[in-house]
Amino acid sequence: MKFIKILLILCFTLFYSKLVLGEDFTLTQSIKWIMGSEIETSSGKIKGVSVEGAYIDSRGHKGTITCIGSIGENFKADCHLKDEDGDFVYADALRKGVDGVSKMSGGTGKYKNVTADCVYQIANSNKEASLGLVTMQCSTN
Amino acid sequence: MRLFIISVFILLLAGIANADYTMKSVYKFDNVDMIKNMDDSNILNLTVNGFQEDSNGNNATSKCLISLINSVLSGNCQGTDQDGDIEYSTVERDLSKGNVGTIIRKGGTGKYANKTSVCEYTVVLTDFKIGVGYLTASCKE
Repeated sequence: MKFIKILLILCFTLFYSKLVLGEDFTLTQSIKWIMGSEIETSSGKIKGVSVEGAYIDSRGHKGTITCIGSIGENFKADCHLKDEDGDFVYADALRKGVDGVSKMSGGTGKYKNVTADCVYQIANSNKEASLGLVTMQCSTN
Repeated sequence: MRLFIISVFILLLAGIANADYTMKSVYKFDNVDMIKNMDDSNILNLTVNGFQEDSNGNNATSKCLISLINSVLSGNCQGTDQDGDIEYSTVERDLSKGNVGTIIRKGGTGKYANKTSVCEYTVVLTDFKIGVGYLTASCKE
């Protein structure tokens, strides 16, 4: 009886943590970027930037990432990730310094209606080579 | 008991004398060119530009000139670290056998003068079409 009680508590805890915290996963991205033209805006100068890369996540998916954005005071971009099955994830990215946030807002195939909040870090980057390593931690909503 | 302590001491000494270090590298492919061989197989040449960081606290930008013939990748690399010290190395991997290859440091200048090392590397992620990759390596000096 005691064993069943412990088992029930364990199941409830797991179910509850899954419900409240969502599913956690991580991504590792190797990216390169190309800078575009610069314009003057009311909040200062911004430069266009396009980012391409490859990623692998802790759920076992891998694919490519493409972002189009701008760099001014912050880095802002809209991105899509295309996995090994051709399914897309739509995401945005906002970063000041080496730490940023990203929101995944659905997609196609297995990612349809899947949303997630992520934080990410530029783990390593080299401006000369326009290359970087990005680590990302996400929690599905 | 005495034998055990002596064994631990010898292992410890061997570990210090033969220091291990790890390395990670983010890279991109440039100048990719291809010709056909007599047997209709592909011969590919490319430049791999990247940067690497090791567990000894060194970070370097690197350039490798790589050939890919009959799924065997081989080439020579030159890396310049934060102190301006240069390391010369070779790289080899049989793509048909998976994502594990070997990087051998032949020597260099400054702290790398007459210092050789052998690294077993694993390609964690890569996308040839986009032209980026990320590898980790475990090395013995």
